Amino acid sequence: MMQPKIGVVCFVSNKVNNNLYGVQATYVNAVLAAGGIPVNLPVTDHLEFIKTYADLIDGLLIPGGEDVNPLVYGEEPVPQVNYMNRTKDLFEIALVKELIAQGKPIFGICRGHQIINIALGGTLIQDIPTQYTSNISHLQAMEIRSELTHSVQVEPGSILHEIFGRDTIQVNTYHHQAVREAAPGFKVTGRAPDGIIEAMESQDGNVFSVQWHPECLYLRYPEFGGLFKKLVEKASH
Amino acid sequence: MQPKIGLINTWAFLDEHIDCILQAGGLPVMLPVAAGAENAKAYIDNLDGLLIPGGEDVTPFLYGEEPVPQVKLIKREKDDFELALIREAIAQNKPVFGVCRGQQLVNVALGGTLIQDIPTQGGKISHHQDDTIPSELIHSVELTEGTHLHQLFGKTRLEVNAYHHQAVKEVAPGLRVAAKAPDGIIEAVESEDGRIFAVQWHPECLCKRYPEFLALYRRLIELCQ
Repeated sequence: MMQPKIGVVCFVSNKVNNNLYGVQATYVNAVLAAGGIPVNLPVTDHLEFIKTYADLIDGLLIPGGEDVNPLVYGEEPVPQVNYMNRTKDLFEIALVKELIAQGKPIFGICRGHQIINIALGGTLIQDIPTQYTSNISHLQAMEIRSELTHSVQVEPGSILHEIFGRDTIQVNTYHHQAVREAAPGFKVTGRAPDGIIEAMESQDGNVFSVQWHPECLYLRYPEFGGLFKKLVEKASH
Repeated sequence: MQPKIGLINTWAFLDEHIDCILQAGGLPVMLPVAAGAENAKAYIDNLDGLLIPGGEDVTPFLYGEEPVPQVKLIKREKDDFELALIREAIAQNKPVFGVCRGQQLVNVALGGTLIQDIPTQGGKISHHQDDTIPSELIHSVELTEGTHLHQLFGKTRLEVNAYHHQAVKEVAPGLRVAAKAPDGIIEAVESEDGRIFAVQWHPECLCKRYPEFLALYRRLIELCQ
């Protein structure tokens, strides 16, 4: 079988260079290591191209990034929410819906996990420190991206459990938002000790997502490469 | 003839204001702060309208308060010059459009007061987005029915961008609230005749991505004629 083409949504940055489209090499390399062909998708207002993009790829990886603009899901931003990109929100939401319509697999990471949930009717915690009682850290220092800092309880029978083969794993963590209510048709497959939702999957298992960053872990802890392999495997069918 | 719109040479989105003024059919004229309040009349005599852009916090002494710890960046010469410009423009019945600090300064010029720091004085939603995303709409505002602003946009709900930690507290005599954020922060004010109007958000950063905001600049130009 031909290697499947995995779409990877680009970020848009005004920080480095005016209107730079880019993608973190870690995501691209993780897809390559799993046997997929990464295809970078630029974020634009041209939602009329969504079907063409979806036709072009066999599976989709939605990486981490900005907060989802709360106005997109009918809320006003709390004071801690100040970095977002509505063009990207609308692009990814449309892409998620189109891929599901075409029966193609999606793997969401961090923001990707959150935008899938919004696209399909779930809700978010806008800011964990101010909106959720927690005694664990969900934001470790940027310099130690491959460090495992908190544990996650894994739901037996889930894709996650199949990949890791045990009930408890340890993960890294870089987020201040989280899934509040999982979208209809989704089951929670991983939770942090404070109850924060760390992983979800659709009933058919074709859409799955995690709140942590496996792309920063798979070199040091190869079992995290299993998530990317699962996406590639599903995209090969 | 293009109406001449005066504005100071601010650091806050100056190019964007110039673009919007030109696009709306006006001619931007830069006013140097160093000229001082004593030259305000001479400038206004030669202008058709005035735009007060964003920038530093207004010096709290100007509305009778000491600064709270979060107020650090103020520039008194600029306050004095722009206050003199606003008062002179009003005296000559020339239109004034305020943006962000501009709204706050218009309010202070007419006797109103300010919330010195929203995060510590009661704001419930985000009023300050990241510097790199100026055209992102981050919160909603409700326009007051029957105001000139409501008429201008033809609807009661707008989504806007936000870059401020201060806001209008007590609205000055002669002004009225034209828009509020969901947490009650005053987002726009206007005079009864609509010749003085101001918004707390930054339309100059939105006009390209969301052209409906150019209406504010068109309104200023219209009022000059």
